[in-house]
Amino acid sequence: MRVRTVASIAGYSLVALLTFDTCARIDDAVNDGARFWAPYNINTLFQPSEFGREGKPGARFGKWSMNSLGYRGPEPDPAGINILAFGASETFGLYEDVGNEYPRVLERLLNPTGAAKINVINMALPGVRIGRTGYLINGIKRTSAKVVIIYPSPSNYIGVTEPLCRKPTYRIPDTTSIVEYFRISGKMETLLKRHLPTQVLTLLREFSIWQYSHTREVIDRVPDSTISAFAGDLECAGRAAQASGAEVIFATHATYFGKKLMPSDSAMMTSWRRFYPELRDSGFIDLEERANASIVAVASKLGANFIDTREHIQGGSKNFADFVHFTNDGAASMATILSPLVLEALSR
Amino acid sequence: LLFNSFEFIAVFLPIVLIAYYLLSHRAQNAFLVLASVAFYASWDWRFIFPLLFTSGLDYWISKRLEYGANHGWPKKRNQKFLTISIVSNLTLLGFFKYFNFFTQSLHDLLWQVGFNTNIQTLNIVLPVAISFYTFQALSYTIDVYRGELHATNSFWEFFLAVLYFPHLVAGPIQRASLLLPQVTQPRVITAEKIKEGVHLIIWGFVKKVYMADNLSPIVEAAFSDPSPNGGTTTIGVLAFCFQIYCDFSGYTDIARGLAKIMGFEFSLNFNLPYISRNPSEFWRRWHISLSSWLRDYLYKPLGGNRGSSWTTNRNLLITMLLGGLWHGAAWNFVIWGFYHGVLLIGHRLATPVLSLGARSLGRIPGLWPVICWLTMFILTCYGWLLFRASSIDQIVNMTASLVHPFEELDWKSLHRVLSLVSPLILVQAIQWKSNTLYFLDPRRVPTAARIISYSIMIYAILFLGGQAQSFVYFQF
Repeated sequence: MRVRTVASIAGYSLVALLTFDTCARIDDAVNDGARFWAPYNINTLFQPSEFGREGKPGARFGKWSMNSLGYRGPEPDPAGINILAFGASETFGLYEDVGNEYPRVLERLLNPTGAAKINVINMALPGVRIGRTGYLINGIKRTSAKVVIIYPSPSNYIGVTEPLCRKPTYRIPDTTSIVEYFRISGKMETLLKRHLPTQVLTLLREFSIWQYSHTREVIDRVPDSTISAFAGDLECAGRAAQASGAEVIFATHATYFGKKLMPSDSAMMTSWRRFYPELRDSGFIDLEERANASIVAVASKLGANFIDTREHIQGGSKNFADFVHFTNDGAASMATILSPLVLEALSR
Repeated sequence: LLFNSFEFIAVFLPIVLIAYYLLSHRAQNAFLVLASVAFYASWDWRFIFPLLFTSGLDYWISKRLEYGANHGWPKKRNQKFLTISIVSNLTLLGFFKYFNFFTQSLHDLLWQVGFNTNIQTLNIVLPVAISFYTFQALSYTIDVYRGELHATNSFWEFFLAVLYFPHLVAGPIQRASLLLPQVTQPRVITAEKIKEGVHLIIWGFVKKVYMADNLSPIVEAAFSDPSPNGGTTTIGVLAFCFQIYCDFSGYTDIARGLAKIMGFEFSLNFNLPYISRNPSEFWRRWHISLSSWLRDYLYKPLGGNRGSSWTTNRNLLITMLLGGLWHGAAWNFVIWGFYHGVLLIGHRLATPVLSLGARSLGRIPGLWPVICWLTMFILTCYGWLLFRASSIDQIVNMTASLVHPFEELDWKSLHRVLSLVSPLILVQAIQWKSNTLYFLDPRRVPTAARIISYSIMIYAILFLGGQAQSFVYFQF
């Protein structure tokens, strides 16, 4: 009797799960035009390539869509002048409304009515390290870009001690897990993130950090080798772009926290640290300081332009939707400070 | 604490249910009083005082009335006590809800006839649910006065009957005669009751979160259009017709479901109102707890239909006017009540003609009922225009636009409205055909089919809901 009950509960749970998943697939198909059987999550925007990973031409997920070149945003005007924005998720755009990520806003600022079209092509990839020069060079060649904006994400170098650009590239395999094949899992995660109170989310994140720190070493600050690797990759990328004939503009990295960590920022810091539990809170601000100093140094060494984004974009929730990603306002500020520099670079 | 808030679903309700199931009957009652006070105080703790006053006064007066009845007091003395209760309750309601409305209306009237008065309105905060609990408390005193109910000896039991959180804020208006015995006697909770309660809660949330909240922006857009055309008005009114039904009946279903899983039984408040074929049928199906309250405590005491045709019509009109005013202190509610009063009277007067029509068209099966249903549905929809409008000017503008009801009709919006309400229509067709509102009754529907249906409904609640809105009837 008991076995039968357990079997019934398991069977009915499976029926419920399959119904939920079917609903999710129909929902995606009706609202987003997603294919019914294929996986559908943010990873479906990308594919493995000879440069590691790149955007999949024409792919769509939610508010994100890739153009025929595999870059985020609309098709560039073939007759226009091309500018590339290269970086990680901050540039790719996560929280901004569609068309409000900074490359799009910058394009609008650079195109007063009647002037020759300037395309700002968003070739950012979430999580990318700036040393993926093969991907960058390929992008410059494909677009004959005149200017390259490099907005690196220092935290992607936590745990890295050697520059990436000196290593051979390898195809980053598709890591879609079995759970991701269930559409409902991603939707549930998003739902919980949206509705759970910050305190509960912070507690869950603290628990995951505690689990990590319980078994592995946690460092106060990243070693100098990490900063060297970051600077090395930055220099590689800058030189590669210059060698391809493009003007380079480096941008220092801005965060929600500004220069100093305040006690009220602890929940936000925990949400960042969850991705890098090996580094203590204070280590993030230290990493940002040192990485930004190296951006300025590399720009000076290469004779490239740079903007001190961190100085111009105030921390806090007006400009940042989370620890590093822009809000519409933040992206607009970024575009506003970039635009005179881009125009200057184009005039050279 | 809204039923559709995270705090209610994830914190308040689990704590209440776990504690409730663990406690004995007396402790359950005490705990429910505390939980209901906390629930009500979550809006504003000061709201507790008018509620305490109303409950305390009606409890005391009912005790006096029963004492008087048992000790042979003259009828006039009992009438005095009843009058104190009615006047006090209505004064409290009038002050909080209608003082500014009547003051402003008086000022406007005097200004129209040339007097420029300096009448001041007050900055009064309207206590949530005052219209509901005033009527509930009043029905208790009147029932005791009529000898239809014995006064309770426990203030806390009476207080719980008034305050019980599932029905407190937006009904259904529970008569003390129904609820008090359930408070005083131990409640029986069965698996069947829990299943039906959960069913009502889930279906109520589907109506509220998926349908009403998604219809809300369409309604908002139509009713905020300064120069609406016929198409805009048609879509806005149609969307509001379903929004208000899904919002209010959704709330009622959740309230009834919550009560059921705690062993209580609430009265039915909606019974497929939009299948009505005439105004009196509509009022037997729409907001049943209010319409039956008005019938028993206003229409019948006025004389009901016992007098001449003229007095019956007068009583109907007064009842509907006051019913309209009960909804809110604004002229559009008065007009809405008047409109329904006129419909009821019109239907009474037209009955001979309608019988003739039924006889002559009755030869074609189904034609006459469809004509009646369609006419009543259109008339109901127009009533919702009066109800939702924010000013007399808007009523005039939108009514004028209905001369061309399909002018510049936005087919995309119409398609959205119809696709949102199609599950409702499907379910109500099943309810109507099967003659039961419990459309996933385990005795008739296989378990697998119920699990699939509930999974679809839960998906709609979690992932397809609109921007969370407060319940429309909370303002009343």
